[in-house]
Amino acid sequence: MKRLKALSMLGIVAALLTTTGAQAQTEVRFARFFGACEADFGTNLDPSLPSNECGVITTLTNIFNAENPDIKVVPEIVEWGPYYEQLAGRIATGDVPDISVMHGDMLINFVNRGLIEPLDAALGEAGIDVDDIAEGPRENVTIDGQIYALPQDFVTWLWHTNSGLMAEAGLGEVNAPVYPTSADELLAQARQFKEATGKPYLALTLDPTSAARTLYTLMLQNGTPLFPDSIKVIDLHSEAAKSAITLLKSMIDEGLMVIKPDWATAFTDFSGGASGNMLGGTWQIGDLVRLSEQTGGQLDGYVAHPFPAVFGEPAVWTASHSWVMLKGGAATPEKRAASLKFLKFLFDNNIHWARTGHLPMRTSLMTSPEFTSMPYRLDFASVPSIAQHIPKDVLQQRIIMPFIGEELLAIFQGQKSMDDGIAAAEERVNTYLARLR
Amino acid sequence: MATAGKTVGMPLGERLALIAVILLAILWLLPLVWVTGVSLKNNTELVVNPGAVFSAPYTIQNYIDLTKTSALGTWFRNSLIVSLSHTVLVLIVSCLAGYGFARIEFPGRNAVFIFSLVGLAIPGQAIIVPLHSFFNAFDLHNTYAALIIPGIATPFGIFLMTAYFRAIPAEIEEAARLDNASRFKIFWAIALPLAVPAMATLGIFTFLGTWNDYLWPLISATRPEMYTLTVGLAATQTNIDQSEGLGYLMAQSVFAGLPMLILYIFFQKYVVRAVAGAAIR
Amino acid sequence: MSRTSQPGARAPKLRTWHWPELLFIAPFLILYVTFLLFPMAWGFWMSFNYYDLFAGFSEYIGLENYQQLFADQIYRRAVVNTFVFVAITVPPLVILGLLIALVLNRQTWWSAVLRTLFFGSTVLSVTIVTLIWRGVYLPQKGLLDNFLNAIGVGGIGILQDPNLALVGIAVTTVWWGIGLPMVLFLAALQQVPGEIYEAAKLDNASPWQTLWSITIPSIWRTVVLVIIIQIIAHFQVFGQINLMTGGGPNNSTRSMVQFIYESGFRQWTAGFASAAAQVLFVIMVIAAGLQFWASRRKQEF
Repeated sequence: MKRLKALSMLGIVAALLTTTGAQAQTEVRFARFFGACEADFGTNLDPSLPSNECGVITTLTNIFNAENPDIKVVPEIVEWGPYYEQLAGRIATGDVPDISVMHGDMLINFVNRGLIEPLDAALGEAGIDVDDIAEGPRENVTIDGQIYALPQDFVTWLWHTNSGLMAEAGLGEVNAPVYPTSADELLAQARQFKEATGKPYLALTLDPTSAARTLYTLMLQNGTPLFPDSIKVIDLHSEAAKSAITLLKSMIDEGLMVIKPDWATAFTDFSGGASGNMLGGTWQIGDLVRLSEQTGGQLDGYVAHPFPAVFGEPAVWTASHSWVMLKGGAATPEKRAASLKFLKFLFDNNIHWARTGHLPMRTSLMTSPEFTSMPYRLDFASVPSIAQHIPKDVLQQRIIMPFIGEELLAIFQGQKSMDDGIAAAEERVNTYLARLR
Repeated sequence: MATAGKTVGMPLGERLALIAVILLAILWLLPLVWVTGVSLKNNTELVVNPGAVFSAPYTIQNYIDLTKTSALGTWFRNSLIVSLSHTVLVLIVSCLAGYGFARIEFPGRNAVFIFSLVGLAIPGQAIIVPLHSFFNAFDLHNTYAALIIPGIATPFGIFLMTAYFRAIPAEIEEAARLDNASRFKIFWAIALPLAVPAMATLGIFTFLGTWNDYLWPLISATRPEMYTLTVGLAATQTNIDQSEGLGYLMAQSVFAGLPMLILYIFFQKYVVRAVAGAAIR
Repeated sequence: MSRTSQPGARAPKLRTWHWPELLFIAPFLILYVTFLLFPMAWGFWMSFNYYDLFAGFSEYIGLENYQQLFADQIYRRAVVNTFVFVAITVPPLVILGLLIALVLNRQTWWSAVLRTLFFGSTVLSVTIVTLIWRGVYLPQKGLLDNFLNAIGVGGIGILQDPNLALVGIAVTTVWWGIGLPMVLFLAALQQVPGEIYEAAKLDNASPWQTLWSITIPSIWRTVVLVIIIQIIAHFQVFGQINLMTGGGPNNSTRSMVQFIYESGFRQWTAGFASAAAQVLFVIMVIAAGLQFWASRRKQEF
């Protein structure tokens, strides 16, 4: 860390020295979401300060720019919601960024249209050790034998745990909670928790993607495929799917799981000790840690744990962020070289991204003390072996996930019967997928 | 004026109506006051205690943070450039055509006029997909041109200006006509100055409409430096659920809304008169 | 605004015209055809194609888009939502707008202040309005819940409840849009000659009678105009919905324009979106027809 700081200081000095030389800078246009946080991190060069996606990526960009006075990475920040519409729009208009962030599951839609350059050669050129990329994320960005993106992380669905409360209910010790290993255990422990504390064991947020990710995870644990016959037809009425939905619904009906109206409420309530666990994602760990510190330690013994294997074999729904070079971007040799240099920099500094809560995608980092010493993370070493993706050739996964989630939430809240909800979700997904070419 | 400005001795019904309107006014004001309050609070304090809005301490930290991010200024400038240019162009095109339809008796004029009004029934929202492709074909997205050009030819403007020019007695122009002045000169020197009230109506409607437009800039301006204020603010809104930024977000909305409010308060007499002008005709 | 007689009828003396004078209307006609009629026609054609906006790929598929559209539950729901939204938004806008105008139609400093207040929200852009109201509705932290907590019924997520979300958006819309009807009514009220009221006073008419038998009939034309303007405007509701709920929860707020936007730009099915746009167009034509009919009728009242 110290070395890096010193290095970046050197970089700034170098930057100051060279700006007077009026050297032509190569601009790398860097399209991303993750939000804008110039107010907090606009000039920050200390990678240990930020704890969320926005802070880390902004800081990393700052450091790169300071260390490479001849290159200027210009972030082009788009809101998360319409990011892909806007990116596709930019491609259509020929205004192509040099490097873009892309969820692994979105790749297929761009590759099918021939909009992304394969990266195999470029990664070699940049000196990036492809073999160090964990198998899951690498496999997920490999289409027809070619790598189309540089993965950045494992993004997984998990449990945020208030281990203090869990210990109160006799479910392990502070910082070492006990997790269920089957559906029966889940119900038993949840009831035990409820009895001891009077609080719900689990909290789910009224956010369609959360509901969908939870179902996906259970299905992946069970091993029953969501797309058994064709990547265009989802099957949500299998026995496994029905019993997974029944399990979640019964927990809600019994008051063992509670639905929070939005993330703000979910965060506030969870950090105030309103439930034993909260369903969430790796991207929230940094914010939760900060929140629990800011709120004066109300959330004693916060830990994050991979989604327990309550429905079969250990498995967690996983996505990854990755970096792509779109066709038509980085058009000059200088731009290409500069872009690759930035990719290499992101690869080299992959560990800092883990501060957000995501897992680094470099196998060598998983066992490094820098990663294993990161607080609040329990049993994260197992993630690479249990991380599973939805089949990568399923189109528009970001569109169909809320379709499923909205119907699930309608079932959970009693607005639709399970059969109606499942039928509606299947119809929405399947008619949409059928409509796509 | 229907009634004098006295509330004493008012009939009961009228007094109830007055009370109702005052209650409504309070309801109207509350969100604005609350937003201003939130914008003056420390973000962390808001997370811990939502009720903290109603008590000190207050801070202007959110506004200081705001000035550190430059994007808001850029978006504001874009909105201003787009709205002003669009409004001026609408006025030019509509005045010219309105005068033309009102005064120049070319054959088939009525047919062309009706043809022009057909567009009144075309909602702007219904043509965004083809319009997007169209600007795509000419590589014009993320330019001011793309944000300004659609909607310049507005049937509403033609309708309004034609009616207005028609209402100006032709006799006024006749003297100039006998002096062999050109049509354009007559239009410019005689008709146009008389049409200023209608232009104000059209101009203010157009400006407000463009300033507040959301859908078209959302799909056409995809690069942050080309965002208008509406789209830019929308981009920062997505994480309202991430509790820590509530005060900051509200500071943004105050900061972005204030110029229009001030402008409106200064010019409200004209704005109201102009808007009302559309109704009386 | 609704005169429908033929243009130029009053200028019989200047009959001559010259070709160059057509330059007056040429800019309009060129822009009109290029940026309104042509896209409309193109959109119509697109609706018979599978059209990929981003790959630039298109293929004629006949009526398939329309078949899918009419079979699409979400689209049907969007049509219903749009009608419901219009039905719950327009009446309060008209009635409250009229009430406010009636009360504030006086020249006192406080009525001027209140007029400023009610029209002030209208000049804010949709993004600011939704930001404010999402804050108001925020569970626990919002203004509304602050109040509801005080009386012990807090924790209601208006925008998270499928039964309340559309109402919540309608309230926001009324807050945002009340200024225009108010100003239009005020303008109309000021056109009513004061003598009529004097006469009514002499007849000892109650304020209620005066309102129903004098005021409302005198401004009836404006009432109809305001209703129609509001209907047309709110049929195209998009910004509030996209920013406040994105169409959820449980599809309870998705509007027709939101559907067009989503299917065209988010889901990459532009031809399908065009078909949905044609339906919106047809409804708008009907609304415009109503407007025409109403403006014809107004003199008969």
